[in-house]
Amino acid sequence: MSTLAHSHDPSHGHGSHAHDPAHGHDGHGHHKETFITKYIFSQDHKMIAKQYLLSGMLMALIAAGLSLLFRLQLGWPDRTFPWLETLLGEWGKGGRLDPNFYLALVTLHGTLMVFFVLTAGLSGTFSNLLIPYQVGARDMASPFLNMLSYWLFFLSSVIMLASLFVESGPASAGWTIYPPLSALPQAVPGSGLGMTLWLISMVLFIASALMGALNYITTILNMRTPGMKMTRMPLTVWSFFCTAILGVLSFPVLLSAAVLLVFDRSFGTSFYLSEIYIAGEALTRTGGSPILFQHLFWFLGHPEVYIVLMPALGLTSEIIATNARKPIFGYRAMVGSLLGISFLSFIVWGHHMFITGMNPFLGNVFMILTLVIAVPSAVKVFNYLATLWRGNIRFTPAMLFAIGVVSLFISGGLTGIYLGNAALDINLHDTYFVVAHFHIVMGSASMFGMLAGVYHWYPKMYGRMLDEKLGYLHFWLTFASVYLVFFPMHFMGLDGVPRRYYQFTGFEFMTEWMDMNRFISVSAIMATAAQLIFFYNFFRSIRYGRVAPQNPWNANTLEWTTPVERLHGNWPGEIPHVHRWPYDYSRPGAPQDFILQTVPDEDLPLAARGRPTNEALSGAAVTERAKTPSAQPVASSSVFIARLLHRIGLRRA
Amino acid sequence: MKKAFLNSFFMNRLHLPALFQPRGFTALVGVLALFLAVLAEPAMAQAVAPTEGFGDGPKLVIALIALVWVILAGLKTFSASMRSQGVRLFNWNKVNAVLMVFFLVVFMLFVLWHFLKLMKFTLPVSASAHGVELDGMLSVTFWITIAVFALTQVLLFSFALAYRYKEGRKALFYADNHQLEFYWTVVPAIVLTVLVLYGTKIWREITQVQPAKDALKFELFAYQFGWQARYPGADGVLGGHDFRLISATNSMGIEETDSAGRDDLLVSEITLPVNRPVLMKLRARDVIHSAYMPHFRVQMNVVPGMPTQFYFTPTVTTKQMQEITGNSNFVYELACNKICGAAHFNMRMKVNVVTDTEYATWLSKQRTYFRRPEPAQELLSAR
Ligand code: HEM
Ligand SMILES: [Cu+2]
Ligand SMILES: [Cu+2]
Repeated sequence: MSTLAHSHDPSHGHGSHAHDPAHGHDGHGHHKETFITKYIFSQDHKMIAKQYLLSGMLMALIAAGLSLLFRLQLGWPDRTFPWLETLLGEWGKGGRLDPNFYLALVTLHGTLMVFFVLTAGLSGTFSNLLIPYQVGARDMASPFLNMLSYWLFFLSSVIMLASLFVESGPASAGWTIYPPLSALPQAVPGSGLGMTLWLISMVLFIASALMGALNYITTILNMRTPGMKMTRMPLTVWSFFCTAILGVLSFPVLLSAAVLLVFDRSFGTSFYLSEIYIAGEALTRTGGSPILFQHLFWFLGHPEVYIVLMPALGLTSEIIATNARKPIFGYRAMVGSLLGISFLSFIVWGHHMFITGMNPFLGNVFMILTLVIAVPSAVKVFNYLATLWRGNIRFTPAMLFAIGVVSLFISGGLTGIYLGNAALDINLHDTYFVVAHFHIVMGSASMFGMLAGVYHWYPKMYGRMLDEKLGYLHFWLTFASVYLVFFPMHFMGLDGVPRRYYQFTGFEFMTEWMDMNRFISVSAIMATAAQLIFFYNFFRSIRYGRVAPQNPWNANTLEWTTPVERLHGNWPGEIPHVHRWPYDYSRPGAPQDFILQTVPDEDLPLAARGRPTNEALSGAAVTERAKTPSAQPVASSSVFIARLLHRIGLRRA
Repeated sequence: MKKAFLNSFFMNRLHLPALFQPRGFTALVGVLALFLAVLAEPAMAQAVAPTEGFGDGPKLVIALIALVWVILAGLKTFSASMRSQGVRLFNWNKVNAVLMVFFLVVFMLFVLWHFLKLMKFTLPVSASAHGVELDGMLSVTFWITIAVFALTQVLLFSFALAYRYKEGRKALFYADNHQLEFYWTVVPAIVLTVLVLYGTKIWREITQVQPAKDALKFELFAYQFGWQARYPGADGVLGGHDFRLISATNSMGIEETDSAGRDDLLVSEITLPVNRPVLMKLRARDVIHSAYMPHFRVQMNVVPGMPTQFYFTPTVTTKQMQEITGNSNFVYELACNKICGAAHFNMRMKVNVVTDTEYATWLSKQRTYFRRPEPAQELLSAR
């Protein structure tokens, strides 16, 4: 099929999609939705997005609750809390957490946050919501697979949570589940049924993630509305695209790691077991390698951290540009750095293993590659700053959180430079320095990205606005407490305080951190409490929020051309065509400070037509004015890849 | 008329609304925070006393929340009534913009406070030779990152204030600048290259060197949940081992038939002579552990089925370190730093660094791994 036919027939854009509301101009189409098909087994990307969001929020609440329980232990190791026994029974005997259960809490907290909240809750929500909206499609390539993806995720969540209720306790080998600890129930009770449930849950989770990711990739490549070239896609879509590719390539490796672990646990193999004497006997299964598991795990694990972060960065790009009323600075470099980060993230996994006994020569290689990945990360930060520069910034709650993302990404990314250095990592590995690093750069930055996204696209989800003032309060409390919680941890790490310790009373050099631990725990309680403001705002506004206008933020992207009322198929009439990139904000000569992507040049005054060129700089701040985009060494490779992908997209359309 | 009256009343005489101007508002928040801090101090101190629950903590928090709530509610009604009279108290955009810079200042003070107050809680000078190199690298990295940190955070938050929304102003349409982008790609790349070269050099010096001939060899054995150390006897050679030999009487699985092992010593505290290179051999019994001695900048995972090692030279005796830290109770400690089960947090071993003569005396007092210097006859014949 030619591009010509494509551009003349808007209904072509969604290929195999079963619903075709293009001929149902009344909007709701011709088929009836029952409660079940509308709210439960929905195949509508918007509803699935909301399902993901609500599940993610619930999981976040649970994960945060678990963290408060173990912060209680860390902050007040000398106290008893009788209500713990009421709540937890055996695991809270005498009002103190059981050390095994402490580890289970840490494990489940990490697993829930990394996978269920920041992977499913973040990617699941926003890829689903925004990909069809922003590329101009009526739905995902396969709405059915999309539905299946959510329900597998749901099932896996249920199983993961169910592990909280088994007698031997949930998995407790850390979210990284290193064998042999995770392989042998003799080693820790959580490696019994709890670990089995963990593995089953994760297998389902991976299946769900793959279905989702394949859908996202297919939709982006094949279902863009005419005029939506790859190079005109909003950075959100680019980030979801890269994220999905990372997921497709790396999650199967985790699956294989998990399957081998299942074999070791249940079928008498020894992929990961060697020369072990435990519980009074020497295991006969030998010859395996625990390090193999770590290689497999981190081959997913490192891309995973970017799977978590990139969507947040994509949302941030969009929100910052919209609210600074400026084009995102260096669109190509932004895309290029996303692609660069994606590629590099596959070849740096060894930085988690510098001191595992891996051949130290490999340490050199992984150190070099790891510090290379800091370059595209730095480029992104500078581009955000340049986007804010001379903008006209509106501080919506979404914008506040987006600025928070940038601040946290800087703070946490910089400590990556310490950890990526194998020599420095000798003394920092597995200390609180690492905890600080990844909670700031991954945990907090991504969580902020997710919250920014919710504040920004809430009107598209519920047709109403969130309360702004509660949003401000929520932001400032959260922002302050996040730094209060995680910043001091760097110093604990610099003092060599290990992570995953039940208490710090046994060692002379750790006891001086007692007060700090209490301070951190109090701050963590504050941070969690602040989230209640958000939950209140979220649920209240569904009913009582101000009704959203068509385009509340005066943004350029396609989703704001759809009606406020939810509509299966997104656009009542034809899918609009796209005529420009998404960042024509404050374009000189234009009547308004934004130009929707659907506006053709003919509708604009002469001065605002054509290829956008930078406005002349007044003053002497920067004297060198960029000419029209020329092939520079920085951008050329990204442009090349973009073109390549574009080709693929066209050929399949 | 009314509005004008109000304006003149508040603005000119009482200066009350100044409080609600962004600048005044932040001051208000600051004063409030100070007030809360003062309030919280004695309660915090008091809260330390009880052994059960939080003491008065929760009550205090609830009181604080109530207080803030009341203030906010008051402000809200006040601002609503003012609004009905046509006076807008808050320009929220401006409030947020100012808060950004306020946050920046507090944040930077907070960071500074950490460096001034907490640095002294962090590790003292390295007690090993390579650790000194490593600390040098750490401080180079520190100065580079702290500069980038300060620069970017300051730009971020001050841009927020400087370019906040103003009616009638238009943002600058400025989509890219290849030269600028080129520089801020290449400069970080160069800086990182320097760090990588420096880092790989030190990494190689630490991990990829041939141990000296006279290096003291000892074996550290990790198990759930503790450590055992084995020193070679007079022959300087550690006897062989096999995990299948582990038993109640042979906790490290040492081959009794290997004559090299018969004079091996079982010790309960690692003791090292100062300034002598040490090759620490690591072995695990059950799951992965990690031998971490932060004061020596030494860490290596202990993996079942895959012996590992770490080579280093202690340079500061325990006594000297007690003087350096001004803490007469100071001891070097070895911790497990890889999650390994319930008592992971309790896997401690004491480490002593002593002079050569002290070392010799200590060594002479250690007992051999096998109680009987010669293997029991019946054991040998049983094989
Ligand atoms: C500037 C770029 C970054 C570098 C050079 C870097 C480097 C590292 C290194 C070397 C470690 C291993 C530390 C150790 O275990 O001893 C680490 C841990 C980690 N990093 Fe990063 N990082 C960077 C950015 C990020 C980002 C963007 C994320 C997430 C979005 C992230 C998430 C994590 C996580 C989750 C861990 C800890 C995993 C665990 O052990 O549980 N990092 N990072
Ligand atoms: Cu990594
Ligand atoms: Cu341990």
